[in-house]
Amino acid sequence: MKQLLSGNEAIFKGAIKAGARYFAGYPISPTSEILQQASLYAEENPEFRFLQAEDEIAAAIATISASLAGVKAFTATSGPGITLMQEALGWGHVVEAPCVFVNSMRVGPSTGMPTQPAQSDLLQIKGGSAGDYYPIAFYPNSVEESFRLTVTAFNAGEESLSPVLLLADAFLSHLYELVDLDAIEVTVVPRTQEPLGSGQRLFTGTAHDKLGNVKTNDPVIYREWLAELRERHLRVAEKYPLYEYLPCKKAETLLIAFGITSRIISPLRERFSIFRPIRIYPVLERELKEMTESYRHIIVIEGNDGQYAGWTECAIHRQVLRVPCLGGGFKLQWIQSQIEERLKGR
Amino acid sequence: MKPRLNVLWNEIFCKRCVLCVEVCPVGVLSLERDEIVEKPGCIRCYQCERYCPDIAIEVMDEGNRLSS
Amino acid sequence: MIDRSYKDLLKMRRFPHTWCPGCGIGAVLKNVAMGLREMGWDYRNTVIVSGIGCSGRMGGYMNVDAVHTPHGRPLTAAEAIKTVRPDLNVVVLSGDGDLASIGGNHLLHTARRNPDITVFCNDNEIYGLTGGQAGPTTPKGTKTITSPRGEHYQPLRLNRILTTQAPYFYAKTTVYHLNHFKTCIHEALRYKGFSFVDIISDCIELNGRRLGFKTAHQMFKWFDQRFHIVEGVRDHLKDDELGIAMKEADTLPKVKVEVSEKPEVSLKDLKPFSLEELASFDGQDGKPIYIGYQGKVYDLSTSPLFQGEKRMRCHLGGKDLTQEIGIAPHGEELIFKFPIVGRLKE
Repeated sequence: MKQLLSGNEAIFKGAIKAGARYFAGYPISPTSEILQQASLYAEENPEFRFLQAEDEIAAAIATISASLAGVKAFTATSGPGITLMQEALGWGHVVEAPCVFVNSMRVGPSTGMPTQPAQSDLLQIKGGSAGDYYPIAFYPNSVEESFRLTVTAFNAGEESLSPVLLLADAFLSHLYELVDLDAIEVTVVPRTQEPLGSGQRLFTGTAHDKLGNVKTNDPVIYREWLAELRERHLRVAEKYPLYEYLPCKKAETLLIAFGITSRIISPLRERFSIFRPIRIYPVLERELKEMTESYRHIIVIEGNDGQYAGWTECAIHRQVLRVPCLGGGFKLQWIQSQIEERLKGR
Repeated sequence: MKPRLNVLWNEIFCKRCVLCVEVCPVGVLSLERDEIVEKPGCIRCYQCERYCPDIAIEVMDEGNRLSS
Repeated sequence: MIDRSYKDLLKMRRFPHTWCPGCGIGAVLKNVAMGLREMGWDYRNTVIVSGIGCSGRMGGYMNVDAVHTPHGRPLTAAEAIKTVRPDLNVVVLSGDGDLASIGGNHLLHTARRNPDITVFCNDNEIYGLTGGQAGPTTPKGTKTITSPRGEHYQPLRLNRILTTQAPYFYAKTTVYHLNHFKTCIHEALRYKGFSFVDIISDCIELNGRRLGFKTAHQMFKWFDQRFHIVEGVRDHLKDDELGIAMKEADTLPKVKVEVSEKPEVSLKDLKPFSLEELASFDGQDGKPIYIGYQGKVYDLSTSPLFQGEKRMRCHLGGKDLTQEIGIAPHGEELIFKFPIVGRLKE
């Protein structure tokens, strides 16, 4: 049965499909709808627990703790919220708690422009917490894909034993589309970790060896631990090399865009090839190299000042052209004129 | 674990904070040459064991103690 | 003969533990282990949650699953664990800086939500791990390394903060008053709801020596001078009292919505308004705002909802609003507050 759903609703339904049993959150546009749905769902389903926390810090910590306690958990927020949640994101990677953080991006920094859409939290979700860690992040561009990728995010979390980020933007969160959820087939990865109360383990954010003994001055143990973390995350990321490639014959220019921007520029596919990374981080290095090889020009169109463009340059060792859509201004004509300007004389 | 007259003293756990020495109501414990030693006169009140934060001192059961 | 079976709950192979000679945390750890043993709790049904700081290391020495959270967040984590796993006994072992300073917001809100967890706060009135900086509970005038001329500000009085909103369980004790300490632990573990034990503890190396104490025992004597035990269960504890403050939930009188009836005014005596006349009183150009309701004309000029540019769009001044108020989400009682200035012509 087809139903009219917003991106936020699809994300929530996807989480329930994936088996989520805990939601903690704090009101923030544009993801407050997820919080509201979770509260209503918890009233009707006692096995689903809900917490409206006192701040995003508490929401994130509660999400990870609930995951350690043995249930699939998730939280949803926006850019300023994810800033507060960085502490918990880092902690979640060290204590190996599978969960999902939904980040619907709006214009920043700080409070920024509530609620204008942006795509400017890429650097923040990649490394906002202290130290090295390798988060996995997905970014859908439709309501139907929001549902599917939420399940994928939960699965990747269970496999990589870490918080996984599901990105969205203010457009996508409030975008209504007709979708038939029953027709979407998804596989759900079950929980493998032993819950709390079944051993004598220590889940600590401090560096520790495999037995859980705190080791704060042993570089060898730390390197081994980090190598294992990195290997596991890259291996899981490798399972989800998600992207969309729309080639256009004779096109000499490849446009790279993701999320809502890729929807906005889709009319341009008559003239340009379009590459849409869905797994935002770890960066699709191999795929980017393959796809960009045959094009003279590469233009990254994104809702920030060149965050993904920078990653692309690192991956393909070539200069790319940038079209930053800042301040929530995503207009096709404007983007088109910017592309023409960039390509003039080249 | 080093046995004294009435107490067992764990020299590895002990950090020489001398709490046991100071809480002993009859003053039979003392720290000498970095070791807890015991003079005769223990009244087996268990204060040293109860206050030790390092679980480093135990009062021996009646049967095990060395005759003074 | 003394019962030493509490040692089963401690990871004795990791001893000697990491704290300084004479530190009160060792005593807290030992006595809490004794308390858990008395309750018959073990790794199958108990989880320890601890924060950061010297006291945060307590979790690692317990033979149960322990969660070592980021700084200040143990309460949130404990609440989430208890929410999704009501079968587990959740015990928080942490310090005053962690719970009352960086985690102060979480302390207030976790206490408000009253989950069934037990908190043991090692209150040594100093930041010990980082070298002896002034903390939230450092008494005024105390010299620390960040208050070299004496602390300027008042300490946070947890005994008052945590006993403002029933239900509550707050116990204050010291590591010196051992029997009282054990009683508090026992009562707190048995209490159903949020129970907080404030354990005045000694930090001899990084606080006591600066204050002029030579050994931990001298600090104990100082505690004995500062505090005295009060018998029985109190409603509140004074700053120098050790004891248990406990109160059942208040049965607050239900808030009654009072519909104030306006005294009947004889309509005949009032100035008659036609609808056209009424329409001129719409608040424009400094004119008053009149509305009609059930045959009477009210002066709403002082209503905040009709002020300025952002006045409420749904009701406009200068109109008969009888029907609109009938369908509005609020009742007519809002209107009765305002003065009657006339009647509507038939």
